Amino acid sequence: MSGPGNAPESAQAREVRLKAGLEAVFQAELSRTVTVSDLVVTSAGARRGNVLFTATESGGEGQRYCVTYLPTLDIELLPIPQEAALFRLAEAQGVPVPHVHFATEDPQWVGGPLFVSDCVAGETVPRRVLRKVAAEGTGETIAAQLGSAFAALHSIDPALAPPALARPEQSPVEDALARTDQQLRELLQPSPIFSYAQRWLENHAPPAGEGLAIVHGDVRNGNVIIDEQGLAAVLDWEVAKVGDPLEDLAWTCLRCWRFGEDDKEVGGFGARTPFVSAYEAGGGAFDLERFHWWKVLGTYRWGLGLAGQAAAHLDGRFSNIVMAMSGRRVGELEYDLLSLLKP
Amino acid sequence: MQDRPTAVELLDTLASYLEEEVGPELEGPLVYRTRVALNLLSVVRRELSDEAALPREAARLAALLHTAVPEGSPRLALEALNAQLAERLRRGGDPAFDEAAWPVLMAGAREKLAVLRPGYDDYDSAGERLGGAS
Repeated sequence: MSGPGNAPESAQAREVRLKAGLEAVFQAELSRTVTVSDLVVTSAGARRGNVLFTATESGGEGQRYCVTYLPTLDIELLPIPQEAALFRLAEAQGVPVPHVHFATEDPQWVGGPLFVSDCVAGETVPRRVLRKVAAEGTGETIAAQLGSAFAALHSIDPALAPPALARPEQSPVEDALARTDQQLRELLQPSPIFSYAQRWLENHAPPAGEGLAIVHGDVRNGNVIIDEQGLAAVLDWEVAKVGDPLEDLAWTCLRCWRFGEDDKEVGGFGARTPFVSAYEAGGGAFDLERFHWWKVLGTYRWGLGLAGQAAAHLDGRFSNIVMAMSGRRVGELEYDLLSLLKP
Repeated sequence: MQDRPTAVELLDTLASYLEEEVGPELEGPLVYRTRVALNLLSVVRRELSDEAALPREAARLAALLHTAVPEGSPRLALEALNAQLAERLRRGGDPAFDEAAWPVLMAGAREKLAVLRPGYDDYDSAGERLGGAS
């Protein structure tokens, strides 16, 4: 992002700069002389960029890649080289992720750290994903593939996690409750339903002492690539941490990620049974009560997140119409919470 | 009393303008944001159309809390009751009160959805607690 007073960089100027930086970094990292072309910006978040491009060696055939980069040296959630290391760790364990070719923290190429991975073909836009899945009949397969992917990820010894990955301060459950309690206090207006949920979660907190795992933290439609065979890759690992594996399973099953396919609990793709069966077949341990607790926590957490977006809009930290309307989506999460907590 | 168009009719006019005149000229991220803008207008329109919503909710909360609806504007009265209820539910320790509160909270949640997203409450997640949906 450009600072105050700077004119924002035009899309064209950015493309020229990225192309030159990518050609130079291919030379530096891989000793390959390539021409970079056909850049496509897939996500232009405020902080991170994801750009697909073709790299062609003289006389060779072009190959598609993806560069994930930070446009500046601003603070990262998870440093890019460590995110790349996590991709490699997950890939070695059989989690479908794009293969990483190299990572660098050197800001001279594109302004900040970057890593280059394979470009995985498929669909990522949630509603288009669900149309494709319906047309190809792959929903139940994807539910099972997600269960297998989680089993593979959660089987990794968390001691191998990159050092910058967040680790629990007390326990995943206590940390989550402390965070939501803080957010509850910061709401612009009191929410009796959220207060009810916080109290319920405290009263029903599952016991500590269960195994920790590397958790992705945000596996849902929108963060996965889906092709004709189903799940092709899991993306966006920047909120990964060491935590409770059931937190990962539950987050994928929240109603807010089903995009209208409400009766398909696993991300709008399929039912819970193939998901859990595949998880257990891959060595994962499922626990219904813990799963339910994390679903309530996740629903509550996303409701608080939406309220936080509205607050950021109103106090001017991040103002736009989408953030404003997030405040008017909180009611959906309140309703889902109450449904999950029906006495 | 203002002249026509009424506030609701003005919002409808703005929605038609965005949809029919502005929409076809747009591409890229503006298409999505304009859809959000149209949704925003429909939310405000439904909210303006139900003037009795605030006093109705205030009466429900006052009954649950065994208190009178505070004097003053319906909005301020509801804010005071809401804060009192939130504080009591946060404190906890009274399962009978929690049980009595749930249907009141649900009635309020459904009324909010009638403004925010009609039909969202056709689905009920309660069945997911055991075997999972479907």
